[in-house]
Parts: sequence; structure tokens; C-alpha cells
Amino acid sequence: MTNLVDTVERALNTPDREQAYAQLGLQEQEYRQICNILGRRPTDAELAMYSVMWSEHCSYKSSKMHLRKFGVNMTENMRKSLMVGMGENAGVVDIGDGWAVTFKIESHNHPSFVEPFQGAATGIGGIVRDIMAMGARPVAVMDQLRFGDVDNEDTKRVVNGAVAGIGHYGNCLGLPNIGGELEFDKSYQGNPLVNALCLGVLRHEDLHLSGATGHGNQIVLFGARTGGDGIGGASILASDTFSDGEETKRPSVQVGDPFMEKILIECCLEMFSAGVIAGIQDLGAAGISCATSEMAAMGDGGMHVNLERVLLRDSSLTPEQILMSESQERMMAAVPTHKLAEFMAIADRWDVETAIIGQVNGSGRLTIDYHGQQIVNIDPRTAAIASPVYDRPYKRPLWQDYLNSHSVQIDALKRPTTPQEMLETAMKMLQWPNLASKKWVTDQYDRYVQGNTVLSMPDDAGVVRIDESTGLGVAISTDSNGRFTKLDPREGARLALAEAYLNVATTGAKPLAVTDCLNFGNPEQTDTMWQLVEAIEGLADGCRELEIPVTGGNVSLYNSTGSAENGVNSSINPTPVVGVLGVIENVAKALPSGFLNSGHLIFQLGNTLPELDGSVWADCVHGHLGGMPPIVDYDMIKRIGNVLMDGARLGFIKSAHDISDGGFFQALFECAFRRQIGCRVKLDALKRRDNIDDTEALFSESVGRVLVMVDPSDEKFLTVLCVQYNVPYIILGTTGKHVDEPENTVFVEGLFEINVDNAKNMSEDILPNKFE
Amino acid sequence: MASQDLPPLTSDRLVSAYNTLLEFDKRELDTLKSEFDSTSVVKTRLFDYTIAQAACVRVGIVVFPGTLDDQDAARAVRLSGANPIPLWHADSSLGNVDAVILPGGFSYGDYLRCGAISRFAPIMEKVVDAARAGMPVLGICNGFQILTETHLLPGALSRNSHQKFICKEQTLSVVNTETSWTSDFEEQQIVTFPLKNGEGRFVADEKTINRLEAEGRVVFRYTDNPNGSIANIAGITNEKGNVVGLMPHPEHAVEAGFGTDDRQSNSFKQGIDGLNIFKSLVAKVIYDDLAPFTGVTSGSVEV
Repeated sequence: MTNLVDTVERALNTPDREQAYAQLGLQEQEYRQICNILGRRPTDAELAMYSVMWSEHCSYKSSKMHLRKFGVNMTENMRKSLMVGMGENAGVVDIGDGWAVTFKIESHNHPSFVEPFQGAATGIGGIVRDIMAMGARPVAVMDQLRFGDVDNEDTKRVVNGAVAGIGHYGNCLGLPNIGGELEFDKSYQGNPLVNALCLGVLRHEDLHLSGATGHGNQIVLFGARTGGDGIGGASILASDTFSDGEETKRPSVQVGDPFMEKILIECCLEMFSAGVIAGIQDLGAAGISCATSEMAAMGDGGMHVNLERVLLRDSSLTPEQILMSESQERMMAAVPTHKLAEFMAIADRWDVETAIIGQVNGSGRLTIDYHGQQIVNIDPRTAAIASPVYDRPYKRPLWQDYLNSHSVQIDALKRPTTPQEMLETAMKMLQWPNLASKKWVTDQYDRYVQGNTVLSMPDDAGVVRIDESTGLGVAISTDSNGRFTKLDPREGARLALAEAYLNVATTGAKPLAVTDCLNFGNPEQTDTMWQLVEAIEGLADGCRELEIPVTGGNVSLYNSTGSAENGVNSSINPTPVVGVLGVIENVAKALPSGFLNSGHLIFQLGNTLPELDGSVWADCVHGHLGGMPPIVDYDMIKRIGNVLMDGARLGFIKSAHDISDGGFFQALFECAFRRQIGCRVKLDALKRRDNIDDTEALFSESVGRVLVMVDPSDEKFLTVLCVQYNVPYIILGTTGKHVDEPENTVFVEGLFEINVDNAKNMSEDILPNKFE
Repeated sequence: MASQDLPPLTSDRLVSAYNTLLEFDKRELDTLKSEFDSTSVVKTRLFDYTIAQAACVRVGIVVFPGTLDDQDAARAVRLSGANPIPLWHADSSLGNVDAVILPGGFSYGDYLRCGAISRFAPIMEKVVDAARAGMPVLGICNGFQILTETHLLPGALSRNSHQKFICKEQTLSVVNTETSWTSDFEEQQIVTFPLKNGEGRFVADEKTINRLEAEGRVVFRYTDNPNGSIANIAGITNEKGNVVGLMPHPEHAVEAGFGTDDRQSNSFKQGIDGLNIFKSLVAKVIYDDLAPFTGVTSGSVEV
């Protein structure tokens, strides 16, 4: 067996041997570039390494040159609280009192279509290890889910699998799930989006980086054994479309063991606090290939590895397969020799298997031997850092004009006029799956564990306590609107950022940092590439305007299975998921999103513009997508944020809820559902002030609006704050029942009156009825 | 009874008791004991001392590989005035603890059957011996599953009837307030604890159920059965009442702001019904410590 191994020596002696680079996902010119770098043909092992490291998933080759804008746009002010920026496993943000948090979103889209349960489960596993690798204790997760048409038979398979997988893995890790997103749209039919976010907490002094530093330090692989699962996951699954049928790709999906991961978390945290680790890296996409080349590239010397020392689950694996395997729940650490005994004692205590597979050296090379024969000898930077960068052509597609010209106004979509039509529209909206209660999903996730969850779904943002003695905490929210982004990728990304920012501010937290997960179609198509570039630029500019830095994230491309329709390309709606993290000094003052009590005044902050294009109303009632998305005014967003932060800190705002999908209408019902408290509102003054009609007042999705509830005796405090920050406000009504009303209803004067309990039950039944 | 003169147990009392303890010396204590029946001032002083001792109650919290709610259980113990002591599955000593909690989680990944491997952990041998000797033991969720696997409690927990993991606020009725862990509740009191599990359906043969019912050993019942448990059983106890297992999580309802919602009082996450479980234990230890002087045991005293 070992005699047949393709060694460096053999590669030198057989320069003309044909190599199946295309099957590994490499282009011909990329193969030639590898030969140029090495000055010879690569060995099979080297080819395997380069193929995964240079894959779209690992190298960001299509997006890298554009992602640089996040760095270029960074001001000194934005850098202030940033301890670690893009490029490490996850960004790290200083939140004060010696505490830091790290957070990041990643995609596991392709595996979750092939095998939803394991795909989604290992998506959680992967992002949690990224957070661990920074030296942090993972403290919460969130999931951003997008599936195909709710009535398509296959959607049920993917939804049930993905939700159960996320629940299984997250619940078994003891991580509260504090929120996320759920959307159905036929553009995601063959390309569901399963994104996962993890939040970690650490003391400043516990920060760990991934470099393999310190000559003579031992390289230890620990955790689960290496098996044959997930081989080529990054290069084959995540970096290509599903053109050849999915059956053959199933072995590329990894299988997760959350129990092993939980042990690994506790074991790593004990190792961190014992100070036995000089550098650490998780094994995710591209497995040992990625971990060795990245650790060596980020370190200060070189690295030598004896690959046969890797503990295997399957003894028949070839060295190439060992290098490429994406078996889960593995970590790699650089351990100073004099700390090795202590490291091993901790691993033993947790029954974690270890293998010393190599050493850090001063060679500047990554060399890998297999049973004494050298099979890899490369400059690690050529695999991990200096991977190819493509300036792919991009162009605004012609169909964009077609889409933009067909606005709600031009297409003259019928609006409800009679009370009967208004009630029918209201009932239709309440039953629309994208607006329905997400309880069926979130009830499958543990939100209590660790005892620090302040807010979770259905609040605008998840809030967790970080410090039990001071009440210091963080808020996180993510947002993306694929329909808006389809209409205008630049504005769509800016809108997602504005929404996430405002969601965080709505809890009373101060927004501090951004992570993103850019889900797009095939970058080899000029229109998709244009969407990606526009979205990145829009997001980078938005971050500069709001003065919060992007700390890290992920790009998922090739989400483009399916057939083209009306000349509009077959890719998913471009979906840049933007996550914003904020800090709150005392979580006891965090604002929940619903009506808490009867008799509170309902304020709307911000103006309602006639912005129905791309709205849920246009989709739900008319199946329409066209026109231009709402306009973002970041200055106004910031000012509204200031009102919320001050109001929460001073304690007179009782609760607040951001207005987004489904407009004022949906926000009002979500507030009412929270504690089954109705309200009475009147829209006349709003309509007059903003010069809008009933449909617009109810269903417009103008961004930068928040419902704020205060006690009548505190009315003047809120109005003074609004005046101070120059934020438009209007009182629309009060919460609770009117004295002479028999029922608990949402009563909108002159338009409709709907029983809260019935509506809530209806909303909660929609997802189980579809998917059980 | 002497107990009528004893002041009620409150958390303020615990704080002042701590201070009192610092002032004591052994000679004074012996004097107090000898004069116990003479004045109520002495009784109060002695009671403070005993509370202070109770505040030093050591509650062991066992961590198995895959245990998740150990920190939550430790917080609950702290908030009830006692000291949480971490115990490791591989230890073979309980280290002088006064009670043991087996917290929730997925010990050993629950791969074979929930709790089936944990029962063989070295520490469990000691827990079983101590429980048989009367030490209070509480099993929450996975801990309850482990208690049934060790046969300290009868029955078994199987897959929820709807086949799904469920996480919700669950209302329960407290049926038995005579156990070591439930004396702080009122009989038939309705309480809300978070419930979160995939395998929480209590099952047992008819004979066992009949016996549990006849002996009053059902401790908690679901007011609306969330998982198909027989007779709405959410928690049970052993013959002595010192071992209690339940599926819902009282340790997640012990701190205002992080507790449960209460529809009736319109409170937002202020529900801390779970704290009574842990306070019950503290009271139990106090009165058991007092027993040599007073002849009063925890079963006959209202706290």
C-alpha cells in the first residue's frame, strides 16, 4: 500500500503523469499555477490540499478582492473596540470590563440540501468550533433559515431535517438558541440557506490565535478520529452547483457527534485556562489540509507532520483522503513541549483522544511524511493565503431594468378599499407563512440553558447576560431581505444592515460590530457577480456610515440550482445576511418587543413612506416582485437608535418593536401576540402627516420605524427625547382593551377589529399544519 | 412545640445569620444549647446559628460528560443560600455533601438510552448508597432518567409522544409537599417551570403506577400533558421522600429577569417558582439540624 504512495520524489521523477485535477474541482489554469509554484507537478497529496484550499469555499477567490473594501472603509473610530479583525477564525470585540466577545455566521447550505439533518447539525458544530478556536466559551447560537416554496413536497423534507438537526446539535451542546430568521421563497427550492451564528465570550487575556508559533512546539490533533466522511466537502459540495444529481454527493456530507463536541469545548476551555496551548485551530472545511497549512502560514516558521500518526476511524483511508476528510469534532493545537504532559492530563480527564502528529520548525515549509516518505513539501502560504484571486467580470443585467420598472404603482396592484376587503387582506397576511409565528421551530430549541438568556425569539434581538455580577450583556440580531436585494443588491445589503442595527438598538443595546454571510448564486455569471459586488460595496459603505466594523464572516456562492424563468437568472434571491452585535450595560433594562401591559401609549417613531415595492403585502396578496426597495436613511437610523438607547437606559420605555416585514400591520400583531394583549389604534393622523393611504400606513415597509410603548405619565419624556434627536414621532393609540369592549382585540379604527387569541392560535398553527 | 417560637426563614434572615455565625464561639454555643428552653432570645440566637450552618449546606452537583445544566443548578443552589459543590463522574467520594443534584443534559450523548451509561459512573455507586441512607437527591431531566436507570426511582422516560424535542414553559401541579425538595410549596400549588427534552414521557407498568398513586409518591403532575406521560406524571419520589426526580427544570426559574412569564400577574420573565425546590432543601437541613434540640423534624414544621 505505502509503496504506491505518490511521493515528492516520485513527482520529480514522473513529471508528465496525468492528474485528475478537474475531478477535484480545480481549473486547468489553477493546476498549471500549482506546478509553477512547486517547480514540478504536485504529488497526489499536494494536489488534494491545493484543491480544497483553493476552493471557492476556503479561498474566497471570487469575492476576496471585493471583500477588501470592508478593510479599506474602516476608520480609526471603528477600529477602537476591535481586538481581532477579519482573517482569523472569528472577529473579537472588546465590550468593556475586561470582557470580549467573538461572533460569526457561517453557511452550511449545500450539505443541508443533500442531507438536511446532518448538514444543518454540522453547520452548528463548525461555527461553534470557530468560536472555541479564539479561546472563547460559546454561549449562544442563532440560525438563519431559508427554504423553498412552503407548498412544495420537498420543502417539508428539508425544513424538518434542518430544524431537527440544528436543535439536536445545539441542544446537546447546551447552547441556548436566541433567535434567527425563517423565510420561504421558491428561489431557495434547490438551494436552501442554512446559516448559523455562534457567540462566544472570553476575558481579554484568554484570546488565542491560530498561528503555529514557537520552534519545537508539538502539533497535537485531538478530539474525534478521522474518518471517510465529508471528503471534498468544501471543494465539491460547497463550490459547485448540483448538476450531476445529488446521490453521488451524499458521502461528502459530514456526520456530527454533539456529545464529542461538548466534551471538546470543556476540554479546550480547561486547556486555555491552564495555559498549555500556544496556538489552536479547528478542523472544518478541508480538514487537516486547512488546519496544517493555515496554522503554518499564520505562524512564525514551518511545520513538519507525520501523517500516519493521525488516529483513524477507517484504516483503509489513503493519505490524500486523510488530508481532505472533514470529519467533525477535531481540533489542532501547537503545544510547548514543557506543557505537553499537562495538556495530555487534561485530555485524559475528558477522555479525549490525542495524537502528536508533528512539530513547529524553522523551515518555512509545510512538510508531510507518510510512513517515512515525503508526500508534501510546500510553502504553506501558497495554499492558505496566496490562493488565486479572480477579478470575475460583472455587469448589471438587463432584466434588472425590467424588474425595477414594474413597481406596485405602475402595475396598479389592487388595494383593499372596503372594510370587507381590508379584513380579507388582514386575514391573508396573518396566514402568510413568512409572517406566521415561528414557535413551531423555536420550541424545538433550548433557549434556557446557561440561565443567561434575557431575550430570544420572538424578540427583535437575542440578548444574553455576560457578567452575572454587573449585568453586562450583549444583543445580537441578523437580517436579510432577499426580495429587496433582488430589486437592488446595493440597497438590499444596506437595508439588511439598517434592520439588524435597529433591532439591536430596539433592545436598548449600543450596536458595536458586524458579521455577514453573503449567500449568492454562481459567480461565473456576470449578473450574479454584479449582485455580489454591489452588495459588498453597499454593506461596506453602510458600515462606514454607521461606524461599526465588519469583524468577519462567510461567503457562500453557487447557490444557483434550478431553471431560469423570464430571463431572470436561476440563482437564489441574493441574500446577504447581516448580523449586528451590540452591548448593553445592564441586561435588566433590555426592552422586550411586545405589549407588556394594558394602558400603555403606542408611539411610532419615524415616517411611513409609500414603499410597497418588494413588500410582503405585494408578495402575499399579488405574488408581485418589482420596483425599487425602500430607501435607507442611516442618519435617521442612528438618531432613532439614540432615542431607544437613552429611553431604555433611563427606564421609561416599557417595550419596543421594530417595524419590518409586513409593515406596521405585522408589527402591531406581533406586539399583541407576545402576551395576548390587544390595542386600539387610529391611523388618520399618520396618514395625514405622511400623505399616505390605508394600505401604505398598514403594509409599507419603510425602514427606520419603531413602535415604542410608554406609560402615559412618561409621554413627555419620550417626546423630549424625540425632539432632542430630531426623530419624527406620533401617538397611534393605546394597548389593552377599551372599557366597554367585551373582547381582547387588535382594533384599528375604521379598518378592522380582530380577536387577538384567535389570531395568535391561527398564526401558531400555520407551520405545524404545513410540516407535521 | 418549641417550633412555634422560631422565626420564619427568609433570605434577609440568612444574611443576618451569616453575621451571627461570625460572632459565635464554641463556648457560647454550648451555653446556648444548655439553656435552650429558657428564653426565646436564646432560641432565636440558636436558630440563627443553625440557619448559618444551613447556609453552609453543601449541595453536590454531579457533572458527567455531556451534562449541560450544571451551572444553572449551581446558581439555583447559591440563590437558595446554600453552597454548590461540583462533583465529577469519575470521583469515588461525595466529599461531605449534604445533598446531591443530578442535573440535566445529555450524559454520554444519551446514545444507548438516556442515563443508561451514567448509572455505571463511579460516583453513582456513592450516590445510590447515600440515597438509600436518606440523603436528599434530586434528579432533573437527564438526572431523573439516571435515577430511574439506577432504580432509585421506578418507571422510565421514553420518547415524547409527538416524537419531537420540545422547549416550553410548563405548568405543573405540586401533588406532594412532604418530600425533602418540596416542603416550601403549598399542596396543589400551580407552578411554572421550563420543560425541554426529547425523551420525557414517563412510563411504568400498571402495578407501579397504582403503587405510586396509592403511596402518594407522585410529586408533580402536568396540568396539560405535553408528552403523553402516564397519569400526567412529571415527577415522583421514593418511599422515604428523600429522592425526587422530575422532567421540568426548576433551576431555570430561580432568578427574576431570567425566569418564566406569568400571564396572571403580567410579569415578564419574573417567574421564580423553581427556587422553592432549593429552598425546601435548605429548610429540610435546618430542621434536621435543629431536631436534636427541639424534637421537631422537617415534616412537622411549616416554614
